[in-house]
Amino acid sequence: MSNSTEAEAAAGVRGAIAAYAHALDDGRTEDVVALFCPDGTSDIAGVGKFVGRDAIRATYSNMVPTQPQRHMVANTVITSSSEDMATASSDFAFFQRGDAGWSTLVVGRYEDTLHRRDGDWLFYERLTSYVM
Amino acid sequence: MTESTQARVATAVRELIGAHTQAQDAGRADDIVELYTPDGVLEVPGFGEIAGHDALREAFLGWAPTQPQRHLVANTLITSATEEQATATSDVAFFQRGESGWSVQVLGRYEDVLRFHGGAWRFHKRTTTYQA
Repeated sequence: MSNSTEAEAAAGVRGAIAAYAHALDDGRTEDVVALFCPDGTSDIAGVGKFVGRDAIRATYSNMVPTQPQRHMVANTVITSSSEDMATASSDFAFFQRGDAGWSTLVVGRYEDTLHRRDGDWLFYERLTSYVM
Repeated sequence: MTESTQARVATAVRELIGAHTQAQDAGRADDIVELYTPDGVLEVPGFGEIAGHDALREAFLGWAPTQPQRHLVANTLITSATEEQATATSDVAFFQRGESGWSVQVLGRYEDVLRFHGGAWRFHKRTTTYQA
């Protein structure tokens, strides 16, 4: 793969990762679902493994924020990439605002496999785990 | 430098910073050291300048995590880039989990000088400052 393709893939991957965080924290469930491949998987530690957009929609519709929250994603490393597939590893912190202000509820990691489908980078598999 | 070269260098620099952060929070001192040029320098408040692989290894072994922690590095701005050298400025938040959960211990900034050395981008100098 040429270096410029690698940079393009990296931009697409980082874009999908950011779009997921924005859509999730905004409670835009349909936009979250659309970031997964039709045959994509979201595997969330302690919650379950959800395969396909219907299963993903059912789960994420129960995660619509009830109070201000943010997932801050950082330290993304693209661990492999080709023309139409990439893997990436990122850290995140989950902040929620309660009566006592903002607090860090969870810190974790995303391990992602993304496929390029019709020009868009989509999650084929997202594994979410928490730092215990 | 062409636009695609700039994108390629920017991608490599972000990957490098991400790799350093992930290795540091996992306590992989040898992996961190490999990300520095042989004459690489790390400057940390209270520790002065730590120069060269042996000194860096010793320092990072001393900083190996004793409880769950994460550095989240964000707002990376590539301030200059050529085929051989780049500079970047990033913000960092350091989270640690104690008995009462996760908390932000330190906010700081990284000023990095990166060099293309031995076929890969590496840290030539990282200057860490803490927000007072």
